[in-house]
Amino acid sequence: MEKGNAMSETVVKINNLVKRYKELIALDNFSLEIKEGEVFGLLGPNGSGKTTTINCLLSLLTYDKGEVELFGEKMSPSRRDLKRRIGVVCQNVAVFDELTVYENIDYFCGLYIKDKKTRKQYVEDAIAFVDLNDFRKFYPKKLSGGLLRRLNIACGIAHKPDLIILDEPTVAVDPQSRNKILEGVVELNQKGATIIYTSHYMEEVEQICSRILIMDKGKEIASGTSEELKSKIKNTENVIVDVRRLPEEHMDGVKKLNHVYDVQYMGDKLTIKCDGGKHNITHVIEYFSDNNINYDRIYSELPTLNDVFLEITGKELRDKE
Amino acid sequence: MHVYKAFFKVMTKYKLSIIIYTTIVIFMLFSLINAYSASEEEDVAEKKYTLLIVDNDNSELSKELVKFLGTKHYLEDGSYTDEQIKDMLYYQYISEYIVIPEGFGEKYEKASENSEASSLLQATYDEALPKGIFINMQIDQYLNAVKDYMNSGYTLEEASAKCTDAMDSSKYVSMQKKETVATQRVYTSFQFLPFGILTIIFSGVLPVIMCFNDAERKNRTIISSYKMTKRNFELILGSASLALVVTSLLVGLASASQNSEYIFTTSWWLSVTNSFVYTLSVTMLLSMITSLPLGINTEGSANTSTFITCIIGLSFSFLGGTFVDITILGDKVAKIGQFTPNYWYSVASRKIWYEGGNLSDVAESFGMQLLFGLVCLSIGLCFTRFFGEKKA
Amino acid sequence: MFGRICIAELKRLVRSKKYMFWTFAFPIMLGTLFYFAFSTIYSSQKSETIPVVIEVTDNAINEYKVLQAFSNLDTDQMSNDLEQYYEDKAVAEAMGESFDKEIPISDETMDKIEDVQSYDDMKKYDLADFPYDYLKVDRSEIDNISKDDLPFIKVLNDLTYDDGNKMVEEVEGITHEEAEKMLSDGDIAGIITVDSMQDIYLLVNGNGVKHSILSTIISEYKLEAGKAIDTINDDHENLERSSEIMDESTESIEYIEAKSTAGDNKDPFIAYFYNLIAMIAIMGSTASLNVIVMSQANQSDVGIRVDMSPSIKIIHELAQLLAVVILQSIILIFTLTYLIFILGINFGGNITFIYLTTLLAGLVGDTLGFMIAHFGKIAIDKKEAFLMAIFLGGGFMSGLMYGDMKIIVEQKAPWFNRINPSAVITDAFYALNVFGVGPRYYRALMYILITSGVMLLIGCILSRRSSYKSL
Repeated sequence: MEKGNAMSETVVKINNLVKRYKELIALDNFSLEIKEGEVFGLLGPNGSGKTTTINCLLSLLTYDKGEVELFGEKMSPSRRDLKRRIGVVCQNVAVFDELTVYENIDYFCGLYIKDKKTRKQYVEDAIAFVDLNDFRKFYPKKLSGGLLRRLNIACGIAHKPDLIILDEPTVAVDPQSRNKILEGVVELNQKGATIIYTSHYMEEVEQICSRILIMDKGKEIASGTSEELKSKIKNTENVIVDVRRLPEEHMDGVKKLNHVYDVQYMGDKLTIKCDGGKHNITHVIEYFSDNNINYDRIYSELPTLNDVFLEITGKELRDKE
Repeated sequence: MHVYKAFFKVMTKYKLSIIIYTTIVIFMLFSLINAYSASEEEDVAEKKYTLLIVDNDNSELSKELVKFLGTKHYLEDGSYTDEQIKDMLYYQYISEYIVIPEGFGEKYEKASENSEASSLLQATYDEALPKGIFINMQIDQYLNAVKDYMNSGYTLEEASAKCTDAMDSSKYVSMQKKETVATQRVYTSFQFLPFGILTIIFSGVLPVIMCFNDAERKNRTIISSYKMTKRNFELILGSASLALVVTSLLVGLASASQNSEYIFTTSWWLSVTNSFVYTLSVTMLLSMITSLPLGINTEGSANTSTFITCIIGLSFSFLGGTFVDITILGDKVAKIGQFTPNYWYSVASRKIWYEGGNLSDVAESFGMQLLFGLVCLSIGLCFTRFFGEKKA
Repeated sequence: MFGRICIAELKRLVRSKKYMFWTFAFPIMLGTLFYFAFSTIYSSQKSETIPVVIEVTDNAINEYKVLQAFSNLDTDQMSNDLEQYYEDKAVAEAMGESFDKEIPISDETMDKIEDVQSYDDMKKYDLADFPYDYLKVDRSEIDNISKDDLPFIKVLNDLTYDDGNKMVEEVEGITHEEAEKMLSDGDIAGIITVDSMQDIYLLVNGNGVKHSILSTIISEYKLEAGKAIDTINDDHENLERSSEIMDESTESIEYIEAKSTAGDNKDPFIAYFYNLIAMIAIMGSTASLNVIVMSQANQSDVGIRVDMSPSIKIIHELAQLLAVVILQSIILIFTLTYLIFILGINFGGNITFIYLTTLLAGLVGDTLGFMIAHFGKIAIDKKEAFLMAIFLGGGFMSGLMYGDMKIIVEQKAPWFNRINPSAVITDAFYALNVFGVGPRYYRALMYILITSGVMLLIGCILSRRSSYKSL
């Protein structure tokens, strides 16, 4: 999939945002900047402040300090002109149970678009975009989880906004629907929208985002493109070997190989972290062969954003599954 | 007793609602008790009504008439506008508004049956109701008798005294059970309790039961090793515990505001027992309601539980004589009301406070309340058995 | 946009089956219940015949027999016959002839009759010694005197209300024990014991209006009987007219000029139906509460969408409120039509204004919910509990449960009746019934509009806040 195009003006600018919930500091002098045309990923574990950032950005939440600008102008609750250019897909499905699919999309689009003809076209486009044409007369209760998420998206983007914020849109969604959603996001970006995508699924963020900001405890941990983030850490490659009952001396032996700086053995899986170098997997194969160690499988992985997060913070980006 | 403990933990989330309902009920109870501020121990057969008399004559005769009426009825003080008087008459706060015009005393002496001087007093009252007729009968009787006595040579004062004496009903009217002195206050305060008990229990328990009966939470219990019957029993026990606390509180408050001579008497103990029997009956009714498919066992159905609380609370109270005494309600209503535990509560309460009833007199009423509860419990259990489990 | 939001909201409300069912069922159920409970009380109180058991002692019957006997005694004939007897005897004696004629009346009997100088003397007379031959009527008329011939019983049987209904009805064929039981159970109002013309006693088991009326009837009769006895005792020649005097009613003057109370429908129990309409109107506040809460970002996810949109929040909310007002108005009209045309309840007053008042009543409830919905970030169930408190407490204070409450509040704290939504509504209906369309009614309508306006304004002011400290 293609990532975001070259950017020009700043669409979103947050400067030193501070938000407290009594004694808890949800955002601690947080700053970010998003350019037009970007697919910006906001990544962080549960409770890191992603949703709080979005809500402050949209002026739904008051904040204690800092500035928020959208499209070069100061954002406030009364800036309806700015709100007209924003579309949000909430984490929770926010639709009316008593209205059909069509009626829901029409309703929410109608909050932005007054002209009946234009709105009708937009609604049709939205239904087509999320592929809910066969379900337009269905009530939300009759839809599956994935279809419901698509409806949720349609309600958020029907009015063709310039800035679209998707707050964890693929939670509890089947893989097929998830792919569809991700494809849709890219399509929206290609049509000209700037996207802010928050998630704690690093694979999705890596897949579609042109730029990523990792946050934790209300602070920026790291930001940049996926490659830039990975280049910031020592780890350049992970070699994984499925081996049973590996003696301790071989752990040390593997560690002594070139460019290996860390070895972990857990659950019959040996993970060898390498910093730089080429053909690391070959060296490991040679070692196992030389020492007559039997193994089931060996493969190499590039480091993930989880590795980036782990290295910087010392903890996992997402709770182990 | 795991579910039993959880019941109370969940209930703390709704404590504000319970507090609000309890506060309102207590407020209503005390307003009611204070409305009957004087102890009206009437053991004479003549009913006393409230009259508003305006004496524009101020003669000896008019004063004697007012004095006589003061011995028979309550006289309202104060000056009121026409509008206020109409309001008071309409709501029967006063039964009659009497104006004694100027010159009444002079015209009275000349009045005869066919003379124009009769119809001296202006009385405004509801002509359709017998109490106005009764009061007018008394006034005419008094004035005619005073005239006859005066014609026989007595002075006005003597004639008035003789009339008052002759019209003293205590000399020829007796009550069937003289030893029972029921006061309006204590009777009314206990009469109100069923409404308070039912409203608070329903408002406190229904949301908690809704919470436990949420489909997904209930399913967790069903697939666990915890028996559903044990779970249901503990929920009922939780409801009953709350009911017990609520009833104790209301009984305590109702009793605390009375004269101490009524407390710990046989009548008081019977009334307290009556209240607890009613509470038990209502708890069983509640268990039936939570078992029926009324749409209250789903999240977001707070409105439904509100409607149910109001409908049942108000209808049982009206039909059962909680608000309007059962002696006033017609036979038709009494027949329908017999299907409510409130009716039997009211019957027992009346027997206790007005007829000096003992346990054997009110046992039937207690039994009927419990029977109602058992029937509701059985229906609820049947529904749960045949429909509830399948749906889960 | 206003219209669209309003229509969308109407669709939502109408499609909610649970909401529609309870919103329509609740008023119908309560209205029907009230109809059964209250519609007949007033009419049954009017001209209610009072059931009693009357026990007449032998003493009373005997006394009346004596009264009748003396009243029908031909004393002239008796005197003439005696005079003739003594003349004949004197002649016979003078002529030395035997005189076998029987004395018409023995000296003893005569003495006894002459001893009767007053009513009390008459009461004690033993009819065994009475000279029945000198009765003006047939002896059987005296011997057959029964309970129903007594003046008091006749008076009781003749008493009627203005509409012709009998005031008192005797329950016959009952033993004393059965009568006591019936009295205890409330099946009769009293047991009247007639021991003599003046000795009449009443046993009751309560002090309601029925008992009071019985007491007054007896009191009146005793006074009249006392006067008659005094007349008889004034002149012993009146003894011969005793019966006539007893049956006479003395001149009785009615001193009261009756004026009717105001009101198209005087039945005070109609106030319960006013309170029913007020209750349904106030219950509408839960609908407006729920609808508005849906648009609040800190209460629902849909609210987040709405809050983020460029639509003017207050316009959005007013459109939703209008939808609730429309639906609630339909419900109220439906309920009112059911009450008036199906159950036949007479609300009193011009029917057009009754409908108008009802519609305005709905406004009070809807704006109340609108206002409460904007009270901070309190959870919706607590707001609903607060509404219930207003509904129950306000209803109680306006006489929903105890009819006297409203007037007591009016006396002790009249300001409360001006701010209590239930009281404001019921007062409008009451004013229409009792005072008709006039200043009092318009004033009541004004209170309704002011109350609604103030609540709407408060809601609008509180709605302006768009950001939250937390969601």
